[in-house]
Amino acid sequence: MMEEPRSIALRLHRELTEAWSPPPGIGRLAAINHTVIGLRFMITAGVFFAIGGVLAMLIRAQLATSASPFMDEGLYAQVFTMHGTIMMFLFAIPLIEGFAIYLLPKLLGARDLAFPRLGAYGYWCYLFGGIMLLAALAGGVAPDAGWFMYAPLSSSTHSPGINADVWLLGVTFVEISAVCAAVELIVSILKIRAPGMSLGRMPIFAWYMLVVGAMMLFAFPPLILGSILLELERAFGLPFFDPERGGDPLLWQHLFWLFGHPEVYIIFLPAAGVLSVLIPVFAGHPLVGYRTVVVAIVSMAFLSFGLWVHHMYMVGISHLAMAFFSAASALVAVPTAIQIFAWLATLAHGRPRLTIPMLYVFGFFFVFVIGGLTGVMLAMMPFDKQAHDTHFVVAHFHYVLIGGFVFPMLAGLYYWLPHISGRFPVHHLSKPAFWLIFIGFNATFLVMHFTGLLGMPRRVHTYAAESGWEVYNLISSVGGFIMTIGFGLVLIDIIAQFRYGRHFRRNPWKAATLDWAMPTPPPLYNFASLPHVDRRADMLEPETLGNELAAGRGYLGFVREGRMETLAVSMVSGRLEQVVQLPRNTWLPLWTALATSAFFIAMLAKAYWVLPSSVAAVLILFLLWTKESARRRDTGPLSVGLGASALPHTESPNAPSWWAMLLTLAADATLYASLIFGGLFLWTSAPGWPSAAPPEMSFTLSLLAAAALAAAGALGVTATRYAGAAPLGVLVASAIAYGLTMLLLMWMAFTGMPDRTSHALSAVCFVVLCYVTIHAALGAVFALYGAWRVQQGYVSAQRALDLRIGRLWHFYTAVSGVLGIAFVWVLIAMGSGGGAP
Amino acid sequence: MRERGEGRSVLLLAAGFGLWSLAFVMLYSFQAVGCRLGWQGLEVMGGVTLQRGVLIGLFTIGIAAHLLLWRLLRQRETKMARKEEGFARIIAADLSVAALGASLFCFLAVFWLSPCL
Repeated sequence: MMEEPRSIALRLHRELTEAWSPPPGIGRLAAINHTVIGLRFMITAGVFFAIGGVLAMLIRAQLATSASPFMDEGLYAQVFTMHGTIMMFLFAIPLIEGFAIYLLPKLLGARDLAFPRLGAYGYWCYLFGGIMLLAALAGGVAPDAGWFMYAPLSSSTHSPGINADVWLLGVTFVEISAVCAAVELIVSILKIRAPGMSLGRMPIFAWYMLVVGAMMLFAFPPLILGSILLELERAFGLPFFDPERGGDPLLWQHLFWLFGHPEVYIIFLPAAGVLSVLIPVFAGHPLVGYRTVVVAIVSMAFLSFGLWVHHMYMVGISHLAMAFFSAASALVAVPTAIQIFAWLATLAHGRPRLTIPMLYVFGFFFVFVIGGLTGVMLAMMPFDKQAHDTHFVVAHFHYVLIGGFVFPMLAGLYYWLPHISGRFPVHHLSKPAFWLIFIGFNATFLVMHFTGLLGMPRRVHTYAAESGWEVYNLISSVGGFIMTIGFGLVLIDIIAQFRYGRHFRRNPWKAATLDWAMPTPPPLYNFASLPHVDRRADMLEPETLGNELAAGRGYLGFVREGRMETLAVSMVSGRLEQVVQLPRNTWLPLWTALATSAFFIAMLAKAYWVLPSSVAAVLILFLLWTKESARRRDTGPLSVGLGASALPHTESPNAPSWWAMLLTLAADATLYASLIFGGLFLWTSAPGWPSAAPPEMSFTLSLLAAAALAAAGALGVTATRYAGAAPLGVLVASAIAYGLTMLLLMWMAFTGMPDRTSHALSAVCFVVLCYVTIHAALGAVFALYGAWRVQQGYVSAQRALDLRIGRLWHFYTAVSGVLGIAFVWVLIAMGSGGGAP
Repeated sequence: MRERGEGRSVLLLAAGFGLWSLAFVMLYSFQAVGCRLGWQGLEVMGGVTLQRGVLIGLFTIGIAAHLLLWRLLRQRETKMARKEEGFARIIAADLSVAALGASLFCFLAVFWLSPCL
């Protein structure tokens, strides 16, 4: 007898739920599913937003009148620094990550992201890094040198306590989470989609997040490097930013803003992606100019990397260089405008419905356009000189960030809350909440433009009564409190929706995307079976499709050996390619994050003896992650239903993890390039060059080290060719060559530059050699790990993924290492004989 | 392998503005290095300094590379039979035009602005 579709759906649901559910109770902490991790990110970011908001209220209370200060300048500095740090690093970026982690698989027709454990690890790093910063605030030792931590204010001379260390280490810890998310999002968008979903059929939000992921991958490494260098200066005296010893504080500004300006677009673009999803739904018309919007967001991403110096106009830069950055700053308005016109055209072509999400969309239009226009004003040098470091700038970036991020994300929150809660809002509080936020925001920050134009500088904890700024500040403070009440109402509204909202059938907003083709709240596996997409994925019929998928009439409409599976496709055409066998729920990400936090805490406490053991623990734990993919026999193509079959990812030449390694190396190379840039920048611009006592390195030893490294890399790369035959000896030989390289490099670093604290030239050379040594050490680990996998029978000609991933590392290490050794020689030659003008 | 071809298509999306970024880095670097080495004081011909000459040369090479890329992508775009893969090529071609415009707008000042003051 044929089984009824409803009973098939129920049976499938039970089987999938059993396979996907984490253990009960405390075992839930082992959950790695994207829905759980995404929600954890969003809720934690919400908590940090509330804390950052309380700090903002303290600032506004302090500045309300000239007679109201209750914090001294030291405490006030901690409060405004932590406000900025929390809002940028602990609220905005993690909220985006959580949002994308929760949503992307659902929009792409997948059951999970490519690397669920990486997402979980990223979350724990974020949480522990955030707690570290908050603990410092509670202990009265929070960072106090501004959210951009400018040197020399943040140097050990001017900030002798641990306040700046907390920022440098805490933020770097949190940034691990961002880089993990970037890798995970890019690979997932490019590979983990429903079959048939070519790049041209992707929902527009996926395009936005693909671009944002790439931006995060390249924007964060310069700041990570900057933080490492500043911490090395503070902890060990290596003078990268000290002008008296060949350093330059401007190097910090360059590294910070190389991250800091793209960061603004990293925050804005996901919010713009939300708008590009919502506006077509509520206009009842597909997005106008899909292709043009894609072109605009890619252009915007690149342009945003070419205008970091507009934050540094006042430091003394040549007319020509300023023209480059000023032109790029003005030009970035063009792709922004293209998107705004696309949204307006979509609204004009459709029949807009004025819902709560749309109220926030209109709030966005009003606020963000003002922020954009003041941005164009500030991009112009003459105006910037007048308004620099005044409250005008504060008002501008709040218009951009709250207008361009908070308003759209609130629209998104109200749009997807029914998806999360399974209930439709009752809307009693939503409208008053919106108006309180909108009015409060404009009262606070519109007026702040005038305070700035009247000359009130940023970061002052008090001002004179006769300054003429008092009435404007009072209005801003009252506005700030009104806005806070609005946010409070939003929170109550959310709670009310979970408690009193009404249940609904599928797709309450009449959307045309896959996220609504599943039960709500969503099950952990998202789709009981996966769809085949035959048109643009924002022109689908979720109601019909949802029933079909629930009844198992798609791909993978079954559970294979209790495993969690999803599909991978070819990047551009969306052709079915692999069955991705996902890891089971595990505690490993949590343990690995704890071991990572031990490293950062030991650094902060200057307990350097703990560092080797914490690094070893992290390494061993990461190696344990690979147990899951160990197979002793080839499986061959697996059936995926609908008459199709595909190789498991462990046997595919294009496995997601191979792409992940490639992207990780791209981020690594960015950090390395930033270091090389730093060395060259100091040579061209820093005072105190050439060095009076340049490093002395043995040419013979350098050649030997380069040769050993090249041999180690070549052996590692070659091993892949013998997969399944006898690469064991080759890999062991590679590891030995890496070991020799490390010994030579360490000898050169410690004997060739004994006075690395006396001049930046020696310090830069020392760090470059350390970078190469660390990579060689990891190269040895990759080689030995590969040898072990071969010896255990986990590698065959078909199952050569471990070696192929290692091959990428070996290649990069050899090339970057040899170049690094050559760079050290060139820099020593230039830095000891070039002569400063 | 087909995946490699598809990987190349994804990379081509970044080609236009990748070139813009490269031109930016080269111009900004040579502007700084030239000022450090005193090229602005070395006249090569007709009142044009070595510094200006190098920057104009880099600018010209950059624009030529943009034009070459655009032509290459246009040719590939018309050859692309499969619609799904054609989308990436069309976007890449559009981006190469946008990047050309961006280079002209951002770097044209190498002809007249002071490089070291």
